[in-house]
Amino acid sequence: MDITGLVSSLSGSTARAATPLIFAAAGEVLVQRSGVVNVGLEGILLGSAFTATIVTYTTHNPWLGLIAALITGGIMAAIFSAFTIYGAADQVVVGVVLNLFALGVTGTLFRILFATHAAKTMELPFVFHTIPILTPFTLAAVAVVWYILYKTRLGLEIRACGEKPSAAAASGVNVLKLRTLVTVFGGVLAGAGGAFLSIGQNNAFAENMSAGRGFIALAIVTAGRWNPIGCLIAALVFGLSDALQFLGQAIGLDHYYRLLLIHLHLLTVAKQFNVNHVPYNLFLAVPYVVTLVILLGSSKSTRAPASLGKPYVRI
Amino acid sequence: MTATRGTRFRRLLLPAIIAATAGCGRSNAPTVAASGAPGQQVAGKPYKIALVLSGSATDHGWNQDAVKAIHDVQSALKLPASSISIKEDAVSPSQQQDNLRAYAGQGYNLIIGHGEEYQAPALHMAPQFPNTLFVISSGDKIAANVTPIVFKLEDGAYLLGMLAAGMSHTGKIAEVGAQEIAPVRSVFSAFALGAKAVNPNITILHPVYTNDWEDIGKAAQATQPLIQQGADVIIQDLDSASQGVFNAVQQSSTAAHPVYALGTNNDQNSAAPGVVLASAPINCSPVFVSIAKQAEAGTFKPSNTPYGLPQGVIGFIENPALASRIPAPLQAKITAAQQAIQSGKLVVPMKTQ
Repeated sequence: MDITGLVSSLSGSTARAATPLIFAAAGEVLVQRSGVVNVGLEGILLGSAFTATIVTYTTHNPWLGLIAALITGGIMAAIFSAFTIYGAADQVVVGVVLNLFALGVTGTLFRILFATHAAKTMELPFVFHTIPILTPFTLAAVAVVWYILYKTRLGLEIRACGEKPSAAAASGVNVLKLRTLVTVFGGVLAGAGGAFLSIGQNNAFAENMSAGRGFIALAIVTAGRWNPIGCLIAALVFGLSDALQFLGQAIGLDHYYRLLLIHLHLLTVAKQFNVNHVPYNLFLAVPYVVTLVILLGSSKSTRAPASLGKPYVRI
Repeated sequence: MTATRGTRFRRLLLPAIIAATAGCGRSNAPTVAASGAPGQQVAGKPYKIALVLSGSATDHGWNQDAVKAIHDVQSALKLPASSISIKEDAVSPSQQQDNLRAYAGQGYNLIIGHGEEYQAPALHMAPQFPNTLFVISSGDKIAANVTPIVFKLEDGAYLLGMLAAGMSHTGKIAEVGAQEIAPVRSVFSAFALGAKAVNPNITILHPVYTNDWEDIGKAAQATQPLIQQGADVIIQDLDSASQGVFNAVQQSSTAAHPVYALGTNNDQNSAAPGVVLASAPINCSPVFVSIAKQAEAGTFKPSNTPYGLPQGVIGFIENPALASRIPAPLQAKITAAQQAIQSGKLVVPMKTQ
């Protein structure tokens, strides 16, 4: 087997799977550190993937599509903020509503606009032939979030809002304004992730194409211990295990498993218990199981921001 | 407040429980005597047809073709638009069952469950609705008022396999599917059979499954390791997600080392004209119209005779943009096989289990 080819294919595959997750999770780290859980990430990914397609399709310019996706992400996050931060509504409820709203609206509009012809568009360019151009920018996103969070006064204020908003307010921070700003910024980053799905990695939109990636990004924020670099690692681990499971299917691990059983004279026993075959679903579950294991490992030693998910109401 | 909620709860739940228990107990004996043949037009009542889909009606594939076909049925039977009802995105087994039951309960004459997944619930509830004809696309079992439509996509897959083996430079070809269900496995095995007919030494890599008919990104991810393993012609059995396979193939294909993809279920040649060599589309219209006409007249008998290339339900369309790349001897073999299938001389086996 060609080892260099394998490594480059695996790393490319990992990067592609991780890119939308890193964008969404990097923004969400900042958002959660300010005390807000944006459960609407999934909807933002889907909504921005959709506008990226529409704008690219009409203007034939994927860069305008990208800008549209960033704006969509920002606007959707602003809607979320209006309800949860200023309206002090439950963040989980509003987030779920945003997800369902995005699913319904994109589905309906997609059917109206592309009922008879495929929604194929131009796509953003690739670097080194196979790396989508947005992928390297994930590192920039992580670096920016890390710098803001740990090296600036703004970052200190954000963390204060997430831990004890009343104290932050007492020291002169406008908690509501800052949380909104951060949430919108997180939405813009998630918008880049959405654009990656439809015009970065591919050239088409499909209904519900975000396929749960927003929720995985939320898990990655927790698994990455609310640290942008931790999230980068968690997203890469998820991406790598996804790439590995597809590779495992492609090289026929199932086949080798059966050979092993034959070699150990266990095939007849295995057949009796119906375990002579590795179902493909087991492969597909690997990245999710890995994420769960990381979550288990990280739950002991870390603590979420103290005011996470609690609306701040001025007294 | 509590009292109201409790009452409403009971009002909603009780009939449901009664219906459910009644259903369980009597599923083997008809609760209503059949009046005429299943699916037959009842005099004085409008003829009603329902189509239940597990995916989106705009998937440019499996489901969209069924929607087109049901509209062909509407015009063939000269029915008003109100006679046709389409329910899409019945994703979960419980939704699929509920939709079938709801339509049957409303007295629909013909209910088409568009996918093998509707077979078990339809067989279960059919005895309670003897006047309704349940049609299961891709099913294989027969009951008094349940009929499968056996689409023999295998006919097309066999020809795609011949093309794949003939066009592969590496001697390796591959398969990507969403779910490892019987129809998908059968299509892949017919593909392998066709490939072996052209090149007995061809390597068919292990199939990769994504468990998602819509996730384009996942389909692309699944395709890349296959190309990396050396596969240079790839068949897929995916709906909307097939575009992901085409994209991955497009990204890897170069003039020096071309990689090709194949279309199934729909004519997908234009989805990626530079890499899709040919497609084997399913055309539901002839079957739907034929079943509906016979059912309305009361002459339909459930049957599991497959509908394939000879019936015009399965097609084989080469991409005109790439046709010049197919060597003449290979083309001659494929054309001969196509004619043999058409005339019944060659019967492509179906792998039902």
